Amino acid sequence: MIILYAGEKILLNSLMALKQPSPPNGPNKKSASQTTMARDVTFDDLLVAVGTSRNRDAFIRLFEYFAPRVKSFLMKSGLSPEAADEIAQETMLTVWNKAAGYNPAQAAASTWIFTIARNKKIDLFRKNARRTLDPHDPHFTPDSETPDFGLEKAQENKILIEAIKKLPEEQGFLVRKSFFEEKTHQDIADETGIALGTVKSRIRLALEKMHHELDKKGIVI
Amino acid sequence: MSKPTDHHNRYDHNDLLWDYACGSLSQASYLLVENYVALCKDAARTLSRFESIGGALIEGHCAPVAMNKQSLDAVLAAMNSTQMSSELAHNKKEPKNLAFLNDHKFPEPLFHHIKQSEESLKWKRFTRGMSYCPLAFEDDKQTATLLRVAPGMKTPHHSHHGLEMTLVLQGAFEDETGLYRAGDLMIADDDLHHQPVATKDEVCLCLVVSDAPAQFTGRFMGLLNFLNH
Repeated sequence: MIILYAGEKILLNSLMALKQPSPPNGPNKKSASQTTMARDVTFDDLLVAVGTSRNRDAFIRLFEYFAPRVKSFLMKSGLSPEAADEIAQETMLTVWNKAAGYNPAQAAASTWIFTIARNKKIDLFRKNARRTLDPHDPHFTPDSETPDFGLEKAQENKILIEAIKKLPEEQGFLVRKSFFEEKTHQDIADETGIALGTVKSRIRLALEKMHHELDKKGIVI
Repeated sequence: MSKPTDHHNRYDHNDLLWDYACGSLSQASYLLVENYVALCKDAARTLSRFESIGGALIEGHCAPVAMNKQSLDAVLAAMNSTQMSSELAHNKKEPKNLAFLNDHKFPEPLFHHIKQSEESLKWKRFTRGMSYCPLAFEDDKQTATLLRVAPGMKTPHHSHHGLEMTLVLQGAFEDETGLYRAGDLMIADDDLHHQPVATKDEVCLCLVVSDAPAQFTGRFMGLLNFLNH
């Protein structure tokens, strides 16, 4: 990945032309020039640009896409629009401050941003009682390991988004409820009247389906 | 926390990691998972798989809600002034338990948690060769306790009322179900009646999280209840 960012000018040009980030066209990255030419800029690229060169344009792109979605995510768990706006701002500020620790081999940009938003949400719900996570969240610590994944996380992420759309509603409902309303299996069983075993098995099936979709694309997880 | 009623419903490692990904854990369990993934690569991988679902939901399944007009400007302004905040935050508190901390190889998240604690840790002796130290949290949904067992020492025979999760931080212990080494997590529930024994070569240090000491009625109780009464 590093080699891709050697050509900062090329990246900046891509940034200017960027409309909608999209996944890489192909899994093979042979050389820097080929890679840069062969694919559009992804959110992961933007986040790396923020982390490595404090690129404010890249940050603004990320803000424009993610802040309204983080706000939406937070409102789903019951926050007022004002509170959600504020936490979304804090989330994006943390993105700026911690971007140097982001490793695209470890997580898609959206996953990394999700963990920040989730932690902010937990912090808020605990009324700042919990210690601040920042320096020690595993996602903020660059992983020196060689990536285990043959394809970029950004691509995996796109497949996951589609896989979630394809889930039967009874499964998709439970996955969304778990993440949007931070509910345990037991919470969901209590609230919906669906038996605990059924909640568990539906979520398990959903996970298997998502695996299968990734598997079909040759992504081993 | 779930109260498993049969094997199919039993709360397992994946459930714990899933709950962490969703943000639904107590503070005690949250700390447990942070240390678990710091020690166990497989757990870290499973967690990142679950969290990538959260990422996909935010990126592709949350209809955008427009930010307030001034929000971006507010963040851009703050970016200029807070760049150094992480370094400052890192050094702002003096460690209070350095001697204690140096005795053990704690995973980073636990080390950090103890350093940030308002109160110093106090080890309490339970029996010869066994001491424990409760950790404080704001919520009281579950308790977390550090447990230190001398080499070869037996812990009391006990069963569980509710969930008890034991993460081995250092050394190893063995019970009727197997051998648990550093980075292994044992999740026990009502069904398990056991007597963990520290292996002979090293002190065994564990982080134990259990459902808040409950109104137990039976003859046996969870290890933490045992300690706290």
